[in-house]
Amino acid sequence: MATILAIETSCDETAVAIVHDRHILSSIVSSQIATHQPYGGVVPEVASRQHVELLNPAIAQALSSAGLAWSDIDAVAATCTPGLVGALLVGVTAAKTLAIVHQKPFLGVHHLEGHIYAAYLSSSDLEPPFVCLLVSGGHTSLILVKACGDYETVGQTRDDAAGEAFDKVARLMHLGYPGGPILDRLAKKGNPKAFPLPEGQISLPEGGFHRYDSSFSGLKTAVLRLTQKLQQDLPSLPVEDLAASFQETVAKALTKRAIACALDYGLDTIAVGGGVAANSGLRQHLQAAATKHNLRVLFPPLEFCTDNAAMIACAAAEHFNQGRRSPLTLGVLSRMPMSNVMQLYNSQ
Amino acid sequence: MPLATRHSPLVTPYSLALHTSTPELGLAIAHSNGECRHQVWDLGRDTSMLLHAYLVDFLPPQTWQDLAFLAVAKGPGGFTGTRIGVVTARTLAQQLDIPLFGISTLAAIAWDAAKTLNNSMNIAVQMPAQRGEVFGAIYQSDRQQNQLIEILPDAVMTLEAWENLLKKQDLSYHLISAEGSLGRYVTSISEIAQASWNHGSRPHWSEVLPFYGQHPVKL
Repeated sequence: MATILAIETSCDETAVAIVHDRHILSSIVSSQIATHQPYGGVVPEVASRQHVELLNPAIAQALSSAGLAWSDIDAVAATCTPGLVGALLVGVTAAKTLAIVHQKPFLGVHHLEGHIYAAYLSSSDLEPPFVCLLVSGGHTSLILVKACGDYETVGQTRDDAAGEAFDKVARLMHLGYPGGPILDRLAKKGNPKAFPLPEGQISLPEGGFHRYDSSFSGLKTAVLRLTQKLQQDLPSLPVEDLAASFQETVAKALTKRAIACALDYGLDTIAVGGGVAANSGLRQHLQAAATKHNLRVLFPPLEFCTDNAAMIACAAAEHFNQGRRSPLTLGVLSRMPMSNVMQLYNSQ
Repeated sequence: MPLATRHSPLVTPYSLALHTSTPELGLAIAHSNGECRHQVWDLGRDTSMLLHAYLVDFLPPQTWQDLAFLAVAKGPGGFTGTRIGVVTARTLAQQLDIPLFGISTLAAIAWDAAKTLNNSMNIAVQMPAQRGEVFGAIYQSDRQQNQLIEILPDAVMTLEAWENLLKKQDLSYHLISAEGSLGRYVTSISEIAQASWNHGSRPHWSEVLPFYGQHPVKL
């Protein structure tokens, strides 16, 4: 039973957490949203600079909130891929430093594996195999979780990630950043049937459509065209109806693919991870469809949908328990397929 | 300013200095009596991967508990390289509960030059920055107090502005144009920190952040 201190700095959240296997002892998240808002998105160099300032106080706070000393910690972990390289480097450098000064093992963790493990934080009895629908600002994937470290991506977006589409649509409607929570809030007051929007589908050479891959670029363009037309015809944009219609289309597309994947592979559980897992439209649609097909669907608590270090610590604990360690010379990578996760570890 | 209460310089007379602002990694461990061992590695873009392994190998026979304070090159220099050194130094200082000195990369060059120059002569140091600009600073050596006096603090400006600024200097100055790898100046980083330590300075790690000079977004 391992106690892990983990650091997550892959994008714009500076996070430190301590987890004892699948139980959170402390979780600190310092958001940089306000810093990046004036730019309409994350500026990588600004994110790296903010991480430097915020990280060390967060480490101290995580330890004091958990009421633990370093002698209670078994290993130090950090997100090492995928993400913004400069931002990842801050967390990995701090984690390696903690490891050498306290003589603890170091583990690098794949960020998306962390999102999978967010489901374990609320359902500690969860065991593979299951399907993970991973939906965030940078990723939209359907992953078969076969075992800790054994993943197969069977579906993904061919262009924009779902969360990215939310941000872009919010921007073109001048609603601000980040777009997901704003559109979700507006959608609750709007009519999801007000504007029929196209669901992006991926054609197959032999005919028909890919069952799990998705596309959101066309949907975003359709909202742009619709918005331009409505601006000519109406005194003000019906933002609530537009938000509801857009959200409904995205939720339906993701639900259809996740259910198809679980049924095709004979799996009875769908775990959802990533920032878009907080979206109320997706939660309602997927829950209803899963119930209809007698499937179990697991959403992480809202605070663990977005980037956090508890999910990284949870994934690291599982690897640690299986004897895996990362070398101190482990680098960071902007991208790494989920199928290569085991390259991060030396078995001991 | 919090004092390092856990150690007294008599009991733990060592300090560790890091220089990662350029592709070279420079490490130095100094004794308060002036003895210093240092090493420089040309790691290119691999500094982030190799720093900790090199640090672990370099530290013995000293231990972390032997260190009374730390020093780090805080820039100007490469943003990522400087950040790696500063994050490492801040984290070490936080965990060991000892002071951390953030030393200007340009000051380290001036300190080194001051050893061979006339005491009254100012030392101007310039270094290329991004977008065609230059980092510039002017220092004066005070040998009696064993310290550098900052005449013009590190700043980024156009080459033309820097040249105009130099023309306006009343005193004669020695101009150093710093380029390429600067890891060897880790000994100067160590010496400047030791001098400040001897003068009673005990900076907290939270005060030390990289000096970037430039904002990443042209507003």
